[in-house]
Amino acid sequence: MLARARQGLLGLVLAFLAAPLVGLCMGGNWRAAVLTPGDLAAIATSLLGGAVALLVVALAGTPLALYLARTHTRLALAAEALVLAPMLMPTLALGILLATLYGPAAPLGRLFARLGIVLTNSPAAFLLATLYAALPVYVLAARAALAEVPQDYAQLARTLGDSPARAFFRVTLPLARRGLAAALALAWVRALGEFGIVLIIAYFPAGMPVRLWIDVQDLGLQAVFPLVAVFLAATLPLPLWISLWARVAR
Amino acid sequence: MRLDVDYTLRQPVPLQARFTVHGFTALLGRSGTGKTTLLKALAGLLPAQGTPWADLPPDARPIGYLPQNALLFPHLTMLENVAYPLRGADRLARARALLAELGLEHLAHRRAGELSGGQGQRVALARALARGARLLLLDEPSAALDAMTRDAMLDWLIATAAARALPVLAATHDTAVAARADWIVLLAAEGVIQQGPARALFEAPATAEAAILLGYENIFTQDGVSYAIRAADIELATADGQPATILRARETGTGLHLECAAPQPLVVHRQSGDLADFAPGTGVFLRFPAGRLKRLG
Repeated sequence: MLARARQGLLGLVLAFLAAPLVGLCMGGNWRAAVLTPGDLAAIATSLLGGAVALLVVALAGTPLALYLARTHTRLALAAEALVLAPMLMPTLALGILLATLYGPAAPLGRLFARLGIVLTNSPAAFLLATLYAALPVYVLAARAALAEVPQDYAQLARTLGDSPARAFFRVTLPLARRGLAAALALAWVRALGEFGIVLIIAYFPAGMPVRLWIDVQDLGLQAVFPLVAVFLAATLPLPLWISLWARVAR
Repeated sequence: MRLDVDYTLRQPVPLQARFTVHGFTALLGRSGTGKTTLLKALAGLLPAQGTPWADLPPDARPIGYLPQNALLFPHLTMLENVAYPLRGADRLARARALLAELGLEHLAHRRAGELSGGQGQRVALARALARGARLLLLDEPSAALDAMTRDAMLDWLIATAAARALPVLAATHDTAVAARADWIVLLAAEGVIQQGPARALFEAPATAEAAILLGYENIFTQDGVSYAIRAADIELATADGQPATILRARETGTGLHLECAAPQPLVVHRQSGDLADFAPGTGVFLRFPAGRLKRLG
């Protein structure tokens, strides 16, 4: 009887989590569904901005993740806390803080403006917002993936003639590839789905989340389902497959 | 096949060791005395001062390093593992030739998880040889192997290294590995306490610590002089000899194991005899044959 109750509870929780997918299939008037020019622009902004952000996240975040995985000092602990902080902040609050730092009247904002880079309501601002959203997620997930690779392998590679960088690319990276792919997948989802920070500092050009918000207010719930479907198609299948692939490998 | 080593380390443990590597050399010491640390320092994986190569990074040292458990790269086939240190378009062909030379070509397309312990050690050796090393470092080569596999692997390894005139330094706490060596270096907490040809060391340990490392079960002091003798070398006499009392006796696969008080505690191994004759409390006489009782410094 206890086993049945447990199965029932598991079923209930899974049904609760799967319900939104049912809502996607049943809730929209698909016959009248169409993507507006604004929707298409938002899709392009999200995909392009997300892709550039992912590249920066991978290049900048991987060395930091490796440092955190391999270093066990107080400094490393403090660094990890700094990485965690943006993740733990409510995104609207983080957006407000970024606006005070990078806004047109702020010191950093004025400095970048002199260099021709505007960091509010611009493509650069969109990139900045997605970086603050995705980078901490990637670094922490990548740190876990890299920490699972025993350091002995890279050390042995050194004795076989490899420089530290060569040992990383030939040994550590391949052995951590599944976990790193899962980390990138998480960062991608986080980058595409970011709303709070983007709402404050990068309302224009609108990405998919802000566009959805605008469309819901202007056109109503039914009209946004095509964009929701595109959004889910961009954020679900590949990251889901990578996460399952990483899990199966263990 | 000779290399002089003089290394000083401060971390993780302070250690100063000066010794010679002759052919297949066993670095024999208890766990925790710094054998692995010394090997890692020679490989360049830990900071140290001295000669040789202490000022070179690990990738520039002409050494081959075999850690415990072979540590074959799991994402590569055995062929790719052996080819790892090689450069050039023909690296796989050269690795295949080396595997064939060592009789391991049938393992080329397997992965690490598909090999036995002995097979893994051999492929790891092939990888180290591919590096073109001038010194081979082995960390506990018998650790993951059963006795039969250990002996076969060691014989193969010694022959392979000798054929290449390649000196080998094997860190071990196993006297069976040391017994196969050309040269033994005994390492204790204070550093190297004795070194020399294997047979000479087994026959004449210099100190009590050396005797323990070389497997002597009995070390005692009599009239201010320290002695060592193996349990198998003590004989039971009929009347004359050192009187002793049996404390414990048990049968083993190879005979009888007797613990005696004479009055110092002594262990005796007898290949024959009846356990019933050695009940606790039984009085016996012990004889120490000339040449088998070693006087320690």
